[in-house]
Amino acid sequence: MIRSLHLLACGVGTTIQDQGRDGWQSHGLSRGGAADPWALAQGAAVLGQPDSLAAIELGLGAAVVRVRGAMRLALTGPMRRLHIDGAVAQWGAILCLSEGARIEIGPPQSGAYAYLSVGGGIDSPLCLGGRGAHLTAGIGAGLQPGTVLAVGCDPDPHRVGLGVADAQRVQEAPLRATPGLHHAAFSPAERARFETTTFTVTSRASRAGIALNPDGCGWASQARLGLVSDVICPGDVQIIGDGSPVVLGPECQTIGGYPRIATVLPSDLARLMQALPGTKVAFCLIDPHHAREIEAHARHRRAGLAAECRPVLRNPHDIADLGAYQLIGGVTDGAELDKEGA
Amino acid sequence: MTDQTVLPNQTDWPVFRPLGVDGIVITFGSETTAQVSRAVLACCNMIAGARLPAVAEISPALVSVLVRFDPMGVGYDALCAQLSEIIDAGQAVEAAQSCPRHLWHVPAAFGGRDGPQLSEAAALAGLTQDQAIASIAAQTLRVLAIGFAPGQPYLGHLDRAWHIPRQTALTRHVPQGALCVALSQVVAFARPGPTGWRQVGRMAMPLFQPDAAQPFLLSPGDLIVFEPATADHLADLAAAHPLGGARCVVV
Repeated sequence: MIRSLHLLACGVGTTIQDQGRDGWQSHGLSRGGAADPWALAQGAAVLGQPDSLAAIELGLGAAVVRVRGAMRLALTGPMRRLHIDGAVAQWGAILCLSEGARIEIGPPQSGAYAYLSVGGGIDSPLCLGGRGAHLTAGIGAGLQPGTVLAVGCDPDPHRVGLGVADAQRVQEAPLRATPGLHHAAFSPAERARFETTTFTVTSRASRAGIALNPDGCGWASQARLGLVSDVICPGDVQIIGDGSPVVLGPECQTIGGYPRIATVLPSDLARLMQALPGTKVAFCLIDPHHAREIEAHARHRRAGLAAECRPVLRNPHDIADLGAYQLIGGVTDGAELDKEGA
Repeated sequence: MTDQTVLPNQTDWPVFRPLGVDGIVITFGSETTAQVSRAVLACCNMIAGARLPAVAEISPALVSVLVRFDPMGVGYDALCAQLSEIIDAGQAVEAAQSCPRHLWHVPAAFGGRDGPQLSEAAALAGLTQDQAIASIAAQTLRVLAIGFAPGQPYLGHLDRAWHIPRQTALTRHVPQGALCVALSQVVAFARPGPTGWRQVGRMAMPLFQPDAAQPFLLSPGDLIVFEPATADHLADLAAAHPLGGARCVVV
């Protein structure tokens, strides 16, 4: 049997994503990839597979998925309600599902994007070296109910009973950013005000960028008129025509003409991408050298995520139908009691 | 090499600035002139030729080059110094060899539905509509950079008369293939979208086909000549010809 996931329901903004496509900037294609690469990497880490494999990035609304064939799955990112065949299942842990199991995932509660990772990854066709949808570039499309997604060969089917060490992260800290390409084109007063302002995330948010609403007036720069278009990268905070900031996301354009006051660090950009409309955010500018140290630390931590996973313990009383629990191979043993949500 | 400011009175080009945690932007001027464009493309060739292991990606923009690097593999200052040496040495020996270029002949319809702002743009350039079309078609344009959207070229340079500003308001929607002008440049739109540039024409050449063997047809440095066509002829080419009638020769 070809193993697959059948999408019975899903919300707007649900796509296949991986870590994106590197190396196409000179062709006008931004990297794209998961809005929250950290959460995607957590899914790969708990399943014990490379974080280059593709997963489903769940957007707005609830999702219902039926599995065809036995498989391991994990849901990561900001927690949502999660039920397997009607029973509550654990977020951030390996779930061993048997043929026909029905997964119900609630709408976003504390963050915009969650990740459904499966052992072996989503085996959709490669395009320009990636499997993810890049909606602004016209690569792939949002997933629709009725879609059937093939699943790759699970590299470690016997890795079970584990969960991510820290499923949630601190949301309140200011977003760390380096001075942007046009930082010096803003007056010292305007630069200072940028760091002391609290912004509100608006509903004009997509994988291409998030518009922020300042609590006061917008930002003026000396460079606004006649600024030559220049390179843009995800995380850039551009000040658009009305003086309000837009933070660019993984699917941003590659060249743009608005001045950029700051560039948010990759690890904090993921946190912003998760922010729901109405969330308050602030920025804290740091030296690029310090930023690289932070990024090095984040990469180091990401590489060590698999080793950080912990055994998950579960109260047998929570398990509705203990006898139905099976390992992939159809064998039942004592380890079942340690296994989450199977 | 410390973080510097690009200001209009900057004279000491090129300028190195960090972009995020893994980017260096090397800027060669504050305006898109032919000289700056040549320096940008030459710089890309020189850095690519040096094959530095820490360099992950080199990408030209209009007045600058983005070098993306592995911040775990090399320090920012050390890499800037290395790149600076490569650029200086390259300029000293004029290492920017003239590699073969692709010259594209691209049919395009101007004015009417395919170029609703031709008269407005021509007036700003001080030309009649016919003069405007002739002026655009007379230029061999160079792909200065590909960007904003996949495969989307910034083409330059038109005659100085075309140094017209962008519109203050956005056009909400231009179609795929729209040819839009400002600042002596033409942008050919790879995807439909809003723009502050004025649409004077349209071509049927596809710029980005993600599933094709060759997803991107144009590269920075390629040359383009637009061949005026009627709206009907362009529609026929769009329907009948996989490249919308565009033809390529190596020069």
